[in-house]
Amino acid sequence: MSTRSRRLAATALALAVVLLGAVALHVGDRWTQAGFLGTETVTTIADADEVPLPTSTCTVVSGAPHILTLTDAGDGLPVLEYRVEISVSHVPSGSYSWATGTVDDTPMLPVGESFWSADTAQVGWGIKGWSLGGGSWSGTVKVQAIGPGGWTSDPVYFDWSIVSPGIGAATVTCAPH
Amino acid sequence: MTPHLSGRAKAAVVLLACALALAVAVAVGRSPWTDAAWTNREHAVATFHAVSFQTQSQAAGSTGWAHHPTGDPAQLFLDQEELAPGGTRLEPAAGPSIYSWFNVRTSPDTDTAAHLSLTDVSAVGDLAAAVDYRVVARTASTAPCSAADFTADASYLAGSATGYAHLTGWVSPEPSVPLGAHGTDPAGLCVEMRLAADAPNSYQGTHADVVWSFTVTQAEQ
Repeated sequence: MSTRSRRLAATALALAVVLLGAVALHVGDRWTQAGFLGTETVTTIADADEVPLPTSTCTVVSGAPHILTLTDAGDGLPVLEYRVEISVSHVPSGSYSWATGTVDDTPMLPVGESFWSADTAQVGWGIKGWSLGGGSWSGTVKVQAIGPGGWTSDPVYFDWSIVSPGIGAATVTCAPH
Repeated sequence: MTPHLSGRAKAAVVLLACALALAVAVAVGRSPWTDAAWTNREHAVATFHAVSFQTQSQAAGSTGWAHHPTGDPAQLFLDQEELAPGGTRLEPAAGPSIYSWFNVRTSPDTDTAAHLSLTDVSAVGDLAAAVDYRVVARTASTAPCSAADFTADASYLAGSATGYAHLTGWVSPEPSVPLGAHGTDPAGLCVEMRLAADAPNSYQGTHADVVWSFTVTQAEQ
């Protein structure tokens, strides 16, 4: 190859390199034009509902079971069940016993925890038996409404007592805690 | 001493000089023979960047089309129903779902198509840990969303036909939904929320402030 030819070839090569570099730079510039962003946001407040408080009442009549109504305030979540937990100072024994089954169509509470469907209007409890020496019992009953998923309301408490003199009518009480 | 160059060598040097000038001009975005026109074109591109790519959205609680950037979100629900778990004490289940809609489009003066994806969910409040959600794309509409929108073959931006995302969980930017230029082909989105089955009793009466962020990316030219 002659000197002139080598010069021409070198010149052409340099030209090609310069042009390719320029094109590469320009393509790079175009590439950065992609990818413009916008943001749209949407918001909400997620609120959780509540199980309504029981509006139970406790009524007493000497010689009859204590009666606890199972009702609720009606607002908030639907009530599916009621949880009732009753305690007693000491379990009746001897000639006395804790009432079970039903009395006048009212189901009797077992000592401890029990669950009652929402269509149960009322439950009761009491002491059966008689003794010349008499006896006395007291305790607390706790009521909670239960909603979907087992969510429970705040509890409502009543203090109760039964005092039997042995002879004569018993003295009975039940009042909000 | 001045070097002596032949005629061909001079031509080569001149040609190389021109090529260098052209290359530099191309690299810096200028043309030596159409300087004014090229400058105008650069100006037009700059205007496009600043003004012509905008997005808009509308939701049940704010039905007009408007831009809702971070800090000025659209309101998803008009009448917020309260959440609760489902099932019973012995067999807890996820709670009933609530639904709402959200539409997104490019602005009328946006010249390019784009695509939309869910890129962030932020939730503040005690209830956030117990809320499940899903998002599907549909044809843009102001009609209420319902369970019928969450079919097996729907396009899920969060969750799936068989599973839910958590407000406190990870967000995937895939898949994305196409948007047309100039506000055409807006995307419709349905959002579903529900309370998880294991939401603890202590969450009664609590709440969470939730913000979903959707990123709209200009389609490649």
